[in-house]
Order: sequence, then structure tokens, then C-alpha cells
Amino acid sequence: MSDAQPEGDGRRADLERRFSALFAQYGASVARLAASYTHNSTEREDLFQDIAMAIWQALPRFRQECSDRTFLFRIAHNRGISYVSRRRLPVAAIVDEMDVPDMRTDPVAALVNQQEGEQLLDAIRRLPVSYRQIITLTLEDLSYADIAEVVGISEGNVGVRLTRARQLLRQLLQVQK
Amino acid sequence: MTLDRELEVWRQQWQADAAVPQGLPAAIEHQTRNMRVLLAVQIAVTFIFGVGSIAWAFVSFQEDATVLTVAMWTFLTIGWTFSLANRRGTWKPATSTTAAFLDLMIVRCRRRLRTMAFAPAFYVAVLSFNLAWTWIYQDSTRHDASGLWTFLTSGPNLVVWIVTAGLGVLAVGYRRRIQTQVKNLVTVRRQLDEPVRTL
Repeated sequence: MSDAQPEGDGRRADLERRFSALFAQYGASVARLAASYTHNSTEREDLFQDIAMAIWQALPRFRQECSDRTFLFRIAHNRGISYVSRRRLPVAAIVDEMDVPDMRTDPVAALVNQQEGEQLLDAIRRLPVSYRQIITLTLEDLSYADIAEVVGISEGNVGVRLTRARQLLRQLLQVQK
Repeated sequence: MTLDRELEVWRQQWQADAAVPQGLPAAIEHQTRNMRVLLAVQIAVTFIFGVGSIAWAFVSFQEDATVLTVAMWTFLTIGWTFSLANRRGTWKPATSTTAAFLDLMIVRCRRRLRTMAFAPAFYVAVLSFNLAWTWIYQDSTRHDASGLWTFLTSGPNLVVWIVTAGLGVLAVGYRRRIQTQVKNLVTVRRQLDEPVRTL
């Protein structure tokens, strides 16, 4: 009993260490992915905690079959999809116009950047879930192979879907302007 | 602007938000504690009703205690059997791919709908037994039609009817929510499979 207790404490401490390390490295990414599923700040925080809880529960069984990022992002998106499935699904407003709008790229104008960041996030939230997932993972710097591993589709399919997601996103941003 | 430049700009805008909500360890601790309490309550309920009724039957040696114990264990067996059978094949690690996760969620929701068909019938059976048992063994009203009416409309039983009506309303709402969820999950799952139309 006296041996088992320190062993249990050691496991717990190790788990806490791994969990903290993962969130120190990828916490912001997980928060951004959560933000792509809801615009309400309270709900976003709830979803973030929900994802963190799912990661905490899955971590003891994680044996590095995939990268840490793939592990985290799979859980984050699965929780996000579970969250939106309980609500009315947002539908992308698809417009016919295909001109790529000129992007405002003034790096000095922080306010403009922030505003554009919010517009981007808002447009991403309006994408159908399957495209939203592909674009957010791409924006998190995941490779086609990693995205295919998270979603469960082929790499070729990732490429085709990313092209379509970008078209839709461009149109949504155009409509916002 | 080239397409890759466009993606790079989006990437910078996207990653500019680096805020992480605070208080995560406390929230995890709180949720873990809640889950432990819930599990303890489930075990306690099974123990109190199951083991408690057996103990009462042995101590009292009365017919009413024996009938109650047999019925209690019959209901517990039916409930647990259904619950275990209904959960079969619905567990998978949280780290599944999205496609596998969606398939699993759809199955889980359909099982929940099955539970929502089973639960009302089970509830009516348990309630009917409890009312019959109370009227026959515990109630002092006459055991005829007028006595039964008096018993069913007595104060405590009126509360039972109100609670039952409330549970019925909640069950209908819950069933509708699950139906919507299944519909949404099937839509997303179909999106993953269907060919992509590029403009």
C-alpha cells in the first residue's frame, strides 16, 4: 500500500507534467481551434475546457502512435464537431463571384490586422465543418499527411478540399468587405 | 496576390491570436472531482437499493420485503442488461480520426434514441410496481375501486404525477435534441465522403 501510493502519485505527477508541456506548446492552437467552432466567448472557454478534459483523459493511453500535435488536434476537432452537432450547423453563403480580392497587407496597421484577423475567424466559422477543419489545420501549419491523419481521409482528398475551402473562404471574406 | 501569399497572410492573421484561457488545472480538477462524485453516487444508489432491500428482506422475514427485493433485483437486472447491451461497440479512444469519430457519434446517438424508447416503458413498469406495492402493503385505504382512486389522488401521489409529467416533457425535448444531433452528424459525415466540387 505504501509503495502503491507513491507510484500512483508519481504517475499523476508525470501525467500533469506531460499535460502542462503539451498545453505550454499547443495551448494557443487548441484555443484557436475552439474559437473556430463558436463566436461566444463563454462557450469558447467551455469548449476549450472540454477539449482539455478530453486530452487529460486520453493522455494516459497515448503511446506516441502519432505526433503530439496530431493527437491534440484530433481530440480538439472531435470535441468541436461534437459541440456544433448539438446546434444548428452554420452554412456557408456561397457566392458565384470568383475574383480574388486584394488583401490589405499593411503590416504597421495593427488595428487593421486585428480587424482582419477577426474577419478571417468569422468567415472560417461560417464554413461547413469539413472545410473548416481542413483550413484551420492548414493555418496551424500541419502538412497534408498530418491533416489526412487527423481527419481520416487521403492526402489527395486533403488537397482537393483545401482548394475548395480556400475558394469558399475567399468568397466569404469578399462578402464581408 | 499569389495564392500562396494569400495563405501566408491568412496564416499570420490566424496565428496572431495566441491567447490561452487561464485556470485550466483548476477546471480539470473540478471536472475530475465531479466525475468521481457521479460514479460514487451511481454505486451508492445500486448498493443502497439492491443490497439494502436484500438486507431488509432477511431481517424482516415479511412478504412485502421479499416481493420488493425480488422486484428490485428484477428491475436492476433488466436495467443493467439493457444498458450494457446498448453500450456494446460504442467505445473508442477519443483520438480517433474525425471520420471514425463521426461514425461512432452517430452510433452513440442512435443508441441514445433507443434508450429513449426503452426508458419510458421501464419507468412506467417501475412506477406501476411501486404504486401497486405501496397500495397493497403500505396503504390503509380500502382495497376496492374507490380506495384505489383515493390512493392515486392522495398528496404524495399527486407529486409523483407532476414529476412524471415533468420527466415526460424533458424526455420529449431530449429526444428532439438527439434527433437534431444525429441529423447534423450525418450531414458532416456525408460532407467528408462526397466528391468536392471546385469552381
